[in-house]
Amino acid sequence: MRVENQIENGTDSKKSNGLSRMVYLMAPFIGIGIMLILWFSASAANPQAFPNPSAVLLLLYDLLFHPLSGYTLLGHVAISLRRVCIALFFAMLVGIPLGILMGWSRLMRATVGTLFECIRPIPVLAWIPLMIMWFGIGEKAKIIMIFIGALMPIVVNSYTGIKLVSPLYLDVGRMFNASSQSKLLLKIVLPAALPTIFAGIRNATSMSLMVVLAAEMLAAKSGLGFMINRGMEAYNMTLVMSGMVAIGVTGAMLSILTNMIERRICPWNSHTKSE
Amino acid sequence: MEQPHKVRVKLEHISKSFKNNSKSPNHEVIRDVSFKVYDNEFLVLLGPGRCGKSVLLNIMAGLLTADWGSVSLDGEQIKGPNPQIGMVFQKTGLLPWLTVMENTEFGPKMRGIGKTERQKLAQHFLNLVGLDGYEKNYPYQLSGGMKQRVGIARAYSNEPKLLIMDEPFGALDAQTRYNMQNEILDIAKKEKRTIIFVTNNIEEALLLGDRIILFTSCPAQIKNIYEINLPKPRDSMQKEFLRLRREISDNTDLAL
Amino acid sequence: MGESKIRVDHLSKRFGDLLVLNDLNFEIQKGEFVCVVGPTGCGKTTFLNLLTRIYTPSEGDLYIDGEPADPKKHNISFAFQEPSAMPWLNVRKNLEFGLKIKRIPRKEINHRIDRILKLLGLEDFQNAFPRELSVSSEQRVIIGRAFSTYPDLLLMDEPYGQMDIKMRFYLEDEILKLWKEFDSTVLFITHNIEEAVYLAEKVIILSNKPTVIKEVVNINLSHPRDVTSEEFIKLRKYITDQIKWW
Repeated sequence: MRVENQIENGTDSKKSNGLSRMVYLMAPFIGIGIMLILWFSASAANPQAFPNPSAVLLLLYDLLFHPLSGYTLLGHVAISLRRVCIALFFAMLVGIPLGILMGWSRLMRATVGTLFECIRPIPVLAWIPLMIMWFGIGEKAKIIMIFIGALMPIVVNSYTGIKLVSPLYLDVGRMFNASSQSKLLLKIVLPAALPTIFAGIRNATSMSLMVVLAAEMLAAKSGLGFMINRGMEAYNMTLVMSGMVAIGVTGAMLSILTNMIERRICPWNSHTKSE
Repeated sequence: MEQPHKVRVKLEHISKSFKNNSKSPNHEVIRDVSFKVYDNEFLVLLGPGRCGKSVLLNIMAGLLTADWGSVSLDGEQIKGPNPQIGMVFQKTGLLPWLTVMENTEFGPKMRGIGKTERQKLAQHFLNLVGLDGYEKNYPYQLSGGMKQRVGIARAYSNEPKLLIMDEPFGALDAQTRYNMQNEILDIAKKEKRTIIFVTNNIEEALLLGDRIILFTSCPAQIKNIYEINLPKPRDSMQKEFLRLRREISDNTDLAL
Repeated sequence: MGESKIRVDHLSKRFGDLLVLNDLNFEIQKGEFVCVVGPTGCGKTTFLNLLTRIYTPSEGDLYIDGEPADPKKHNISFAFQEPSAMPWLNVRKNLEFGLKIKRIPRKEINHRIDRILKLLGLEDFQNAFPRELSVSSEQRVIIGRAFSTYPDLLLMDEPYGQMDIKMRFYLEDEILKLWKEFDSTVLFITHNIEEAVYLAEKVIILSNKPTVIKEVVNINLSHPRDVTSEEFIKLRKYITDQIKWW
């Protein structure tokens, strides 16, 4: 079978000639290249609205050594990350067991589950004014907001992961001496649900990045969101873009890290294989 | 078979229906099925489609309960999942997060059997199905045929009194299927057990079964019971084989 | 004798360094029913893809009526293992599909479709949709559709794949009926040797990769064939021994 696939996806000597292969190799660079050219020209015309890309990179480099409002670039990154990580940790601590219980126990689903379903449709950012009222604008408030944002996907995915366990595995469990509720849950259902739970954690991570930005843009003295906000107040679009690039890179790194962890813990899961 | 064989499994008047919803009438799946299974025989349950036979198998395994009637193994009634019954599933059902060895030793592990003992047991059967060397692989790294061999090893490792196989080769391609049929004959010869094997393939039934119980299509009822006295391994081009194939085929309900 | 209908001439296919098909040569006369058998992985699919022009040959070619096969000029119909009825058309419209594309006049279309529906016994089902039919019935519609356009070549790849014996024999008789009625040229690929001997006038045996034609066996039995007769079994045994895929 695999040989046939190779043949299908690979080169059919007479059809694909050197030209089409070249085109596909160059295509991604062409796309990015055109965008860069357009950006550079727009920036030359209107440097205020379109900060020069090289200026953005220079500023990022500069911020590595020269602090902005007391922190260097890495300092701001660390601060935002710290908020995200603390919130994520608690979200997982609370959310995963909660989701699992909701998926496993009918009673939990009926009680806590319905309550959860009522709260879920409210977009996280809508909680901000309430949070500010209750917890002010300090560190605690920001972390709680991120916590709420991260909690939803973790609970939903944990719950779904449990519910979607193939009945075949449950039958296998029952036929092979794992028919008690606790054994089924621990030995069959949880491992089977792990990949979905990880998907929830990944969602929660990107959600957390979004919320931390929002929280920092509103009321903060440090962090990447604060950096962007600073740029906006000073009409310094270069700073704004630097913040965007910094967040993009941070998000990508977090994503890679989560994938690596998942590949360690769930080596059997097909989508994390490097095939 | 002249000498009386011990009855291992007895099904009496099994009936089962499924409720679709409140409006449509119940979907009757099995209607008044009774038969016996003898010690160490390879019994094949044959019938068209998937209707009834798999439900019957699940009832025998204790995964489903019948609406009417009873099933007993060695005199004891089967009321729930019974670890004395080893099952091979059509979709194999290997737990993807466990290695081949961990999958095979799963039954004994859940029963609390010590590591050395259960691994020895599992290794014996993995060797028997020709998978020694693959102990540390994960299911996703195996082909369909190999996965099912692990499924068979897993069922045997649980030291069951009765083996139930639910169309285990149904999802395999023709060549693999043929190889697996020969293998299961080989294994059944080396490790004598009472085996109940479900299939919808007449040739497979004739190649494997000591006795074949032919079912109708839904609702499943016993149409006929055939005793196959040909020596194994059987030649599918032999006259008597073809005659039996014709006889059974004429007797099967054709679902167009 | 005249020109053969289908001619495969020194057909070879390689992918990079991998030689899959090696110098295949054979002929099919007009109206002949030919089966192709071979071990799993013997390049049957590649061969099929060459015939349907999905791949281009590395050497040699396939000729229909003396000219290189060309989907624009020649009419090749297919039936594969998975039924490919269009779910949004009912049975009758599915059967008409190929004919409508060829702009055949309405009266002729109706005439042919009525004939096919009668042969298949599907007159009562002509307004049903594929999802309402069983897999085997859907497959029969596909095969009926393949015959309806009077193709230059009818290609079938394991259309009865995993069906049970009784259904297979029924469908095999049916396809013989359609073949006689439409006098089509059929190339039928199968792994089931009994099926090949039951259907074909000629059985082409392929080898393992790099695939060559091991042998061409002529089946001179008259229809309907008796699968229990000595000659039938002898032929079946012979071809099975040639393949030895186990």
